[in-house]
Amino acid sequence: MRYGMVIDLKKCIGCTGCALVCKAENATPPGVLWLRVIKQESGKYPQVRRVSIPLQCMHCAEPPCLEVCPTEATFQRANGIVDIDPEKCVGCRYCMMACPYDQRFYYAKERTYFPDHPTPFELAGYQRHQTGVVSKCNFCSPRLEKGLDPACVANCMTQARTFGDLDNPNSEISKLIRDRGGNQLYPELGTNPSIYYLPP
Amino acid sequence: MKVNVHFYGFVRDVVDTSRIAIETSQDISVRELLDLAAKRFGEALRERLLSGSGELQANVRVFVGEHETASLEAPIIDGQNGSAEVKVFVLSATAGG
Amino acid sequence: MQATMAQEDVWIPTTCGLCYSVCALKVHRVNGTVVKIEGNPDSATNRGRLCPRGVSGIMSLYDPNRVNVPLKRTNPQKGLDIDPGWTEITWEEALDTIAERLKKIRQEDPRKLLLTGTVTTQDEVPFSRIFTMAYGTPNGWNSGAGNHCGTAEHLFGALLHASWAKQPDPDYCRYLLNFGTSIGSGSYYCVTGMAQRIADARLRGMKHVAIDPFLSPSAEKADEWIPILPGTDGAAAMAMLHVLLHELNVYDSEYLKHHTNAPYLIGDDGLYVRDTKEKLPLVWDPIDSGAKSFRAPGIKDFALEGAYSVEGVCARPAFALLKEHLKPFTPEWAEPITTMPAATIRRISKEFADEARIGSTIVLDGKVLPYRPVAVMYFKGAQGHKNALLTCMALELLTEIVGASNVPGGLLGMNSRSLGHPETGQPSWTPKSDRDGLMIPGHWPNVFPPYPPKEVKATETIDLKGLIPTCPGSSGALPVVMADPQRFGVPYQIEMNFHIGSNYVMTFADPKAIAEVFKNVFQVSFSLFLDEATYFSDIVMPAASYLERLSHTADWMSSNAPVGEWCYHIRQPVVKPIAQRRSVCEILLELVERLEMREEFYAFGNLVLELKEPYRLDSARHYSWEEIVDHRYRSLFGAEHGLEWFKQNGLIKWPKKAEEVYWKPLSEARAPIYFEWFKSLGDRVKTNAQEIGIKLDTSAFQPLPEWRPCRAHTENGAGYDLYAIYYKLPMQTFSGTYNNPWLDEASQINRFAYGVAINAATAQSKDIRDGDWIEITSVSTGNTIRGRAAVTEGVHPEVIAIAGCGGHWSKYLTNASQEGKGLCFEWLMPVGLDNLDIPSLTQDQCVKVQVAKARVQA
Repeated sequence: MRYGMVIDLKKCIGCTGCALVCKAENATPPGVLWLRVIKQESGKYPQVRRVSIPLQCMHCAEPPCLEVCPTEATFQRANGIVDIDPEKCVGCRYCMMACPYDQRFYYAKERTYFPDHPTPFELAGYQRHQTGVVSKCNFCSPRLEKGLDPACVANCMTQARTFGDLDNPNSEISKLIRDRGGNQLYPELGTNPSIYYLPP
Repeated sequence: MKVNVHFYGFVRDVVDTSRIAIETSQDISVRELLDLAAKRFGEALRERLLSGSGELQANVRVFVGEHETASLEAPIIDGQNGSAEVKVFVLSATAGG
Repeated sequence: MQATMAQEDVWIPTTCGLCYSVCALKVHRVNGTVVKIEGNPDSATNRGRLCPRGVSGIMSLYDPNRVNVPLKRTNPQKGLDIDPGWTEITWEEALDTIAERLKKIRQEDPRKLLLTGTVTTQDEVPFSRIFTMAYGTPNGWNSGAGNHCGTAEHLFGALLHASWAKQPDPDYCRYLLNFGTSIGSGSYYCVTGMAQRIADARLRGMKHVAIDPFLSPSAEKADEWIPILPGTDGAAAMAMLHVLLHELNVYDSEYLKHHTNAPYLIGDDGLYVRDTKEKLPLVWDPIDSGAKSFRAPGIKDFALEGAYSVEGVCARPAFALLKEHLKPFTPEWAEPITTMPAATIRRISKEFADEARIGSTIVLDGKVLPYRPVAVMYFKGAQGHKNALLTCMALELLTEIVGASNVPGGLLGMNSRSLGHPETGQPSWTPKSDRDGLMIPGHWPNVFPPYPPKEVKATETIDLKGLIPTCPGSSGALPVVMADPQRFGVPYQIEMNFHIGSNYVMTFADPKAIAEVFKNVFQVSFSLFLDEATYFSDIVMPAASYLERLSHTADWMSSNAPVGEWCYHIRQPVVKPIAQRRSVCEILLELVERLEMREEFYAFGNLVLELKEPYRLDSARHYSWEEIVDHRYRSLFGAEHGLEWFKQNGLIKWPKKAEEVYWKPLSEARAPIYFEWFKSLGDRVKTNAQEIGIKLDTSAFQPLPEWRPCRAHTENGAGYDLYAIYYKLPMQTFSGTYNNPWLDEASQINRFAYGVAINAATAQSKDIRDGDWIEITSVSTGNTIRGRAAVTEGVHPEVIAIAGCGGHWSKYLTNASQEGKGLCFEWLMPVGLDNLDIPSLTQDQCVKVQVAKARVQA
C-alpha cells in the first residue's frame, strides 16, 4: 500500500481552492502554504499556452529531506506518507535546502492573519503548529484515518484530484496514470514522487 | 354596492389617498371601476395602471377579494355584507443585476 | 501540546454567500468556533465542492475589520478620503433615526428613497424590495450593474431564452464558442457546479474556442485562444453570420420556421404585415401560395425567402431581410475591426456550422429532440459596451440560425422552465408567448420581465427605466439622472439611500463622479465592512454575514445548473451573530412595524414570495422572521418541509425533466430573429425624451444587428494607445473579498491577480519589465491608477488586463487597502449618458489608456 495522488492538469483551472482548503483544514499560519499553484506560460503571441500546476510535498519514495534530517524528525510511514514529528524537529531547515520541489515551510514566530487580532479559528487551530519547526503537506493523515480523502482532493472545484493506492494496479489512480499518461515532476532526480500529473 | 379600493405601491404621486370607497348601484367590471378611479384621481392614475391599448400594465396586479382578477372585464361580485374589496398593486422593478 | 477537548462538535448545513452561486455548505463548528467550511456532497448545485472563496469564508466571519456595532457619522463633510468620524450608537438610536427619516420622506414623497443593493446574495436585497415596494418608491439600483454585471445580456436572455442567464449544455455540447466569459472558471452563475461540469465536458472532448482579448483563467483551458480587440465581438459575430448564410448556406430552416419569427412577413416600413381582422403577423405559405396568420391552423409550409404581394404591400420574410442585411459583413470586413484574421473567422464559422449537426436528433426521457451540440457564450465582457444591444443581437443570432437554442447540446436558459417539486408543483414557471407569438419568461428575478416592454413613459424613475423599458435590471443611467433630475423631467430628488452591502463607489465607474452624486444624500447602510461606500453613510448598521443569518430563500432563478437536478437549500446561521451584528431582514421587519406598514408589506410579501394558502401572511397577525421563512418553505415544498425540516436536512432536490431543460421544441413561444418592435419603441423613446428636452440617440433600436464602434475605437488621443479591460478571478468576488487574508495570500502568489497583464512586445516598446510599477491613465476620466506589470504573451498587444476590483483605499480595510493589492478599474470609466448603450442602459467598459513605467518604483 503506497498512498499517491493524481492531479489532472486538463481539469485543473488554477483556482487555488486546494491551497486554501488545505489552509482551512490544517489551520496553517501566515506564510505557511502547504499547497500552492503556479502558472507556466509557453509560446509566443498569439500561440500561447498557460498551464496551472498545483504543487505540494511530493511524498517521494526516496525522500531527500529524510536523508538529511539530523534528528529523524522527518520520517516515512509504511503507507509512503512522508511526515514530520514536530517534537523532534529543531528547525535547522536542512530539509528545506534538500527538497528539490521547495515544498517545506518554516514557521519562525507566531503570527496571525490580522496582526494583534487572532481570530477564534486561529486560536483553536494554531495550537497544532509549533514555532521554530518545519511543516508540510501530510496527505491529511488525520482525515485518512477517518476514511476521508485529503481535503484538497475532497474539495477540488473541478474534481481534478484523485487519491489512492499506487501499489494497487487496479486502483483508480493507477489506471489514470496508465491510461492518460501520468508524469512525475523532476523524475530524473530519482526521488520517485507519489504525485503524478496528467497532461493538460 | 360599496367597493372599497386600496392602492398599494408606486402610486403616491398619482393618488392623493390610497383608499377610496366607490358606491355603485349596478354591477361593474374591474375596468369600469378603474375608469371611475381615474375620473376621481386623474389620467395620471390611468396611465400608471393601464397601457395605451387598455390592458393592465405588466407591473400591476388587481385582486377582487382574495382572488387575482383574470380579466379587466370580470365583474366585481360583492362580498358578504354588500361590499367588495379590491386591491390594486403597483409593483416596481427596483433592481436586478 | 494538546488540542482543546471538544464539548460540541457539529456540522451544520447552509449555503455560501460570497457570490450568488449558492453553493451548499456543511460548516463544522467545534465549541462554538467555525473550524471548517466544506461543500455539502448532497447538493446537486456544487456536489460537495467549493471555490477558493467558499473555503475561506471563515476569515470573513472573524475578520476584526467587520462592523460590529451601529455607527453614526459625526463629520458632516462627505468625500472619498474624508473620514466620517464614526461614533458608536445603540441599535435603538439607529432605528429611531432611520424610522423617523423614512416616515418623513414617505409623507413628503416616497420616491425620494433609493434602495441600493448588491447582487452577491439573493435573499436580503430581494426581500428589501418588498419593503421599498410597499413603501411606495420605484427607485432601486444594484450597483454591480455598473461594471460587474450583464445588462443587455439579460435583456436578450429574456427575449430569446426566457431566462435571466444561460449556459452551454455541459452534458452534450461539443463546440463552445466563448466570447470573453469566465465559463468553467471562477465567475458567472453556479460557479462551482459548472466548473465541474465544464471540466467533465473538456475531458469528454468538447472543443472550447475562447475569443478574448486576454488569455483569461477560462481561456487558459480552451483548445484554442483567439485574441480579439475589446468591444468588437459584435463585428466578429456578424462576419460569422455572413459566412453561415452567404458562404456555407447553413441554417436550421425547420427551427427558424416553427420556433422563431423568421417567417413573419415584413413590409416596407420594417414592421410586421398583419392581417386586417385580428392584426396578427402574417406568414407566406408557399404551398398554398397565400399569406396566413402565423397561428392559422393547417399551414403547410413557411417561406423564409422571397418577396410577396399581400394586399398591395410588398412583404418579405424576416429571414430574407436578415440574410440580405448580412451580405456586406464578410470576414475581410471584420478583420481590421476585430484583429481576428479573416481565415480564422471563416474556419471557426465552418467548425461551428459542422458541429451544429442541423437536422440530427437525440432521444432523451423518451422524447425525440433536436440535437445541436454548439453554444455561443457571452456575458459582461462582450456586452459591456456602448454597442451592447446590437452586439448581443449578433451573438444570439448565431445560436438561433443553427437552432441551438434550448435543445440538447446547445445554449440553455438557466433556468427557463420549472415544473416544481413532484409533491407540490412549486416553484413553477413556464415560458409563455404574447399575441405576436414571441416568448415571455415565465419568471423573472426583478418582478416582471422586460418583454413585453412596458409603455414608454415620462421619466418616472431616477434610473430612466420608465423612459427606456428595455433596460432589464439595474440601470447605468442612475447616477446621471440623480446628479440632475430636473434635466430629465424627474420631479423629485433622491434624499435617502437605503444601502445594503454594495460598494457602489468602487464598482460602478469613476469614484469621483459617483461621490459627487451621492455626497448630499442621507445614507443608511447595512454593511459587513466600512468600505469605500460607507464613507458616504450617515448611519452604518452591522450586518450579519451569511454564516450568521437565516434566509427566506438562498436559491433563485439562476442558482441551479441548467441540467441535472433542482436543488433548493437553506441558509441558516452557523453561529449567533457576533457582537451586535443583526440580520438585514429582521431589521426590515422591525422598520415595517415602526412605520406601521405591516398591511402593505405583508400584501406585497404574499405577492412577491408567491405564498399559497394557508401560508399567506395575515396582516391581523405579526410574524417573526423565522415564521416567515417557515411559511415560504412550506408554501413551496409542503407542510412537512418547513423551516425545521430544512434546518436538519439542508436541502431538497429532485431530478430535472428533459421537457424542463430542453423546453423549446415543445413550446409555442417563438424567439425573435428580427426585432421588429425595437424601432417603434426607439421612436417613442426619442419623442418622449424630446418632450422633456433631452436628446437621446435611439438609433441602436433597430431590428437587425449592426456593428458600431465604441468611443474607444475611434479615440485617437496621442499616447492613449492601449485598451484597458478587466476580468474576474476565481479567488475574489467584486470588491468585497479583498480584505480576506487567505484570499489575499492566494492572490499574492498569482502574478496576474494584483497586477496588470501587458503584452511582452508592448511592454518592451515602453521599456516596461515584469514586476515594474506602471501607471495607467484614462483618456476619458483623466484618472491614473497604478499596479505592477505582469508581462505575458497571453494578451492582445493593444490591451492591458486588470483583474477584479482591488485597489481599495478605505482606511478601515486594514488588509485590502495596503499598496499593491490590485487596482480599481472603475477609475478609468466615465459616468455619463455618452458612455451608455441607450436601449439597454449598459455601461461601456472599454477605455483607451496611456501606460508608462512609474517614476517611483516602490
